[in-house]
Amino acid sequence: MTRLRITHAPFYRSACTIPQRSLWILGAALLSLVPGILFYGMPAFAVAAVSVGSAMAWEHLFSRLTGRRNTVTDYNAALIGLLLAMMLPAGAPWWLVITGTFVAVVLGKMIFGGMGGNPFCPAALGVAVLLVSWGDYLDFDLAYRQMAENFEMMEPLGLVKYFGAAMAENYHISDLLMGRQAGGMGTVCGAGLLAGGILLMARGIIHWAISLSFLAGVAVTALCFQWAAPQTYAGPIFHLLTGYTLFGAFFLATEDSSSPVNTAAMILYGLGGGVLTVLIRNRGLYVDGVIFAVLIMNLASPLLDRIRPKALGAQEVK
Amino acid sequence: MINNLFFGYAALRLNYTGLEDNRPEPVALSLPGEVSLLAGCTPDQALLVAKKKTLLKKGEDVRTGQRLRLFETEDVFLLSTVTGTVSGVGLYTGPLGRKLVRVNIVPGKEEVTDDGLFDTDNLDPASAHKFISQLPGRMRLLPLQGDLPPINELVVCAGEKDISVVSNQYALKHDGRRVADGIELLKRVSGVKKVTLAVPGDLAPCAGGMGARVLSLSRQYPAASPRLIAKEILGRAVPAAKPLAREGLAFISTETAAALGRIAQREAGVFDKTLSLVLKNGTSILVKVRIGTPISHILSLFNQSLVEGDYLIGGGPLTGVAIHDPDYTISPYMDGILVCAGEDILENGDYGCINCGKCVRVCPARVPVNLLVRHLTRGDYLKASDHFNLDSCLECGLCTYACVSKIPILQRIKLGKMKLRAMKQEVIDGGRAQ
Ligand code: SF4
Ligand code: SF4
Repeated sequence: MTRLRITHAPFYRSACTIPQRSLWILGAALLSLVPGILFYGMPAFAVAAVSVGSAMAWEHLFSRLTGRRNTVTDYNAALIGLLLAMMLPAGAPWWLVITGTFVAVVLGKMIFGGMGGNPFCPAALGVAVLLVSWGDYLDFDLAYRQMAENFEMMEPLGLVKYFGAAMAENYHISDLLMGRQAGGMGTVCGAGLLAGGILLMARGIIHWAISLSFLAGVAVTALCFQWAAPQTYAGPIFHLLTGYTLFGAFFLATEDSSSPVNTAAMILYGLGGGVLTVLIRNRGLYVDGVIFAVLIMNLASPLLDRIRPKALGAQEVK
Repeated sequence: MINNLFFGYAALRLNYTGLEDNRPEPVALSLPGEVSLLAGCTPDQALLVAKKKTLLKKGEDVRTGQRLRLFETEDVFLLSTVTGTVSGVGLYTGPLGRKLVRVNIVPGKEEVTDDGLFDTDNLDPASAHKFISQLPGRMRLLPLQGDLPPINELVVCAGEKDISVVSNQYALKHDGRRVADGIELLKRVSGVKKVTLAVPGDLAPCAGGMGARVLSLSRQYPAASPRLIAKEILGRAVPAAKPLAREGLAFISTETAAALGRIAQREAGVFDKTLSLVLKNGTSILVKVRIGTPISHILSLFNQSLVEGDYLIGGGPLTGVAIHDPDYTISPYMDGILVCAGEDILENGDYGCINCGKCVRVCPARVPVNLLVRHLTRGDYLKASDHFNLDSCLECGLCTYACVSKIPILQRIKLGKMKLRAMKQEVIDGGRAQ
């Protein structure tokens, strides 16, 4: 008798798989990293390569040491490495990159049991630790001092923070969209980030509710500040197109494991992230607030996800 | 077997198959050399079968529609679907290891229908339940017996149990007159006055003039799920742990109603089952076969050969059951057969939940699947049921269809429900023993 296979329903599955999702996000991220690399040249490429390579190496090493199944082939580590690199300045020292990927991959993901267990967005956690420990290396003004370019090589957010809203006028929208600003090598090209974000939202890989409400939160808060003190605080467009805002909205806040899944919760989560971002930028110690805003909202995510629709015929349990 | 549209949100919406996706007229298949009928039985009854102590014996002649009694008690009987000679009574292990009694009959030359089949005047509600469950298209939800409240409303459903099957739509569209007669008969037997005909939106024109209120259903799977229909009818959701019958609702499919219509009109063909056959190359064909026909007989007529590692699925792709034996027979409720090459079916993954939320967004019952699955994986069934809405699940399989990690979620949900039922039973039994 022919031996037939027996498994359980359903027999049709959507073809979307974990490696495939990672690859799509990688591809979307490249839309803004490639312009960055073209722009900053070899140092940027080197950082990206070291970051992706070391992230994968950490994951490999950690699964070896703990005797767990090796998950390097799902490209998630590569993705974390790439996202981390995008937030660094071109030419960041190699040890910084490798430390960053260690924090992101091992402390941010693997010790929680791998994908799905991490309470924080790993790439954001990696950058946060670097930012707190070696802040100078992530100071874009310092990092790009040596580079002679034909545009203002100061970080727009820093300029506005220390010299007032008038500095925002040095930047035209098209400059910000095309990446003519100092910043993380993959986060300066607003047009590329927007294209990548829209692609991912259309594919259903990231959810519009998080990204759009994050951007809305930034815009509304910036507007309030500007309205209250127009000389001191820059407007919404400026905040949307500088720093890590777009990158955070599309690539950090949307990280699966650390973000909520219900629509109402996602909207609150995004809004909260956006509001915190501008609050930290305008009133806080740091020039950019995206990283900390995302991490704080990550913490709130399980709580927020308690806001969920009532299930069909659900009854209260006393 | 899998789809991957560019637009992620669209990809997760699954629509029911429409009649137009099949060959329009069912291909009527010849009778096989032997039909076999299956019925569930208790361990004691299985012992009787093993010792060949059943009332029905090999060599007996039977007529179409004749009641075949197997044991002294009436709780197991079969309606013969052909006229012929009994060639054997034995035990059979069905899908999921279920123990069944199997009656084999070799069809004779001429077909004679048993008069008792048409004797609907003396059909009382209690026996009607069993009787109807042997007709094509059973929905297992016709509570005409037991300690249940009386039926307020009868729902005749032209919606399907799964995508890729069309039997009930076919019955409504091409056997409308008989469906109406069947509804008439059911009203008489059960004494129910209120009847709702639930039909997929595009078939609404076929549903008029049947003495029933028409409820239009969406084309999106699983709109025809009884609990979702019940919510439409009652205007509120039935509590998840409460059987629909307790709300006075009874469900029957249009295919069954059409079979009842045939009985009411003393017509032949009561036991012909319409089903969708999906071949290995993906072609879908509507066929009409006698209940009890071995699947292998159908496959040979369509030149489908099975090789090691292939799948043979009874029912639809989202809720069907994998069948281990090509000689397994067509049952009254098997609306479709899928033949698939093994490599066309995506296997379960070995990742945990990555919290992508796809399952939560497709779930028609709004079950927090991402949280539920963590507790189910851990075997924490009580918590799953108390806090994460295990009971609300309609077992539609959409979450599993969508899951990025390819977790066998539906399987775990079913297991969880089963374990909880067993636990409750133990408590009840324990209470009795005290
Ligand atoms: S099978 Fe999944 S999608 Fe369907 S009702 Fe149950 S939990 Fe929801
Ligand atoms: S679809 Fe699968 S991986 Fe995604 S949240 Fe649901 S159970 Fe988890």
